[in-house]
Amino acid sequence: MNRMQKIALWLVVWISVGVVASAVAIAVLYFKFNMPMSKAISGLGLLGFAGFGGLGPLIFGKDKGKVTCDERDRLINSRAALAGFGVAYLVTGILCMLPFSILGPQATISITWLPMIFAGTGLTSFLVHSVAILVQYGFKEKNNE
Amino acid sequence: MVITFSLGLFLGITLVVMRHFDVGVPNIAFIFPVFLAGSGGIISITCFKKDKGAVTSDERDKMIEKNANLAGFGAVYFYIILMSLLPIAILGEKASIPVTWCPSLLIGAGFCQVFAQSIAILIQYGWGGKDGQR
Repeated sequence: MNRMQKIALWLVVWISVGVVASAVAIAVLYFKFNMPMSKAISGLGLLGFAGFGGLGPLIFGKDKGKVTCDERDRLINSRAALAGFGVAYLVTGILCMLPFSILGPQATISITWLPMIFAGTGLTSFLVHSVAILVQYGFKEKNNE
Repeated sequence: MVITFSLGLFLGITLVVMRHFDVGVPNIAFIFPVFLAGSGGIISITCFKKDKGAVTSDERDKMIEKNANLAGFGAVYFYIILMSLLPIAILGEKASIPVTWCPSLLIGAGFCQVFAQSIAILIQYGWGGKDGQR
């Protein structure tokens, strides 16, 4: 695997850990401890695990050799970025229309919903970007053969 | 697109400022900046026909289009960050907002993307010249 693949895999793992841990924590707090959803939602704090994904560029040093990134790598990265942004755009649309559709046009919502839209967009963008990199490289052997 | 969007944005800001200073602006007037901005799309489809010739798009055009798409999406990402965090900074975390703020955010994101994409295309082509030549 080259550096881009390793960083992408690292991100996918840590974002998945963060999302799963949050979902489990919220479910446990809500169903097992019978907390109201407004308190159970504090399980979202475990999303912080996803932050470890940002350490990827530090942990995986630059590839050795004169040519570390060729046109194919750049093309893959560019396509992955487009995929990430595209799916994030879709997630943004869903998160924006959800309260409007469920509550109706006359309702009001807590202002804390807005940073959740941003968080959902950001996480989706990074996750899909990383998955698209791994898919395009083909989950194959070393040296991208 | 850039011209109609810029005019729509300018008109929208003017109406907001007029409303702020209690100049009688009816609510229906705010629909005009949206129509003006949206007219760019209609004009593009109806007035600018497909290029004639065997080769209408080469690798350079495709590369420019891809870069412009990335620029558009990047601008939307920045816009979402701004529109998500600005209300909390201004109103505080205990405030409530009307639910219609969210779909407005989405519509604004759409306009932002098209605007940024159009500007990126113009910059990459060098703002004119025949046949895309600089």
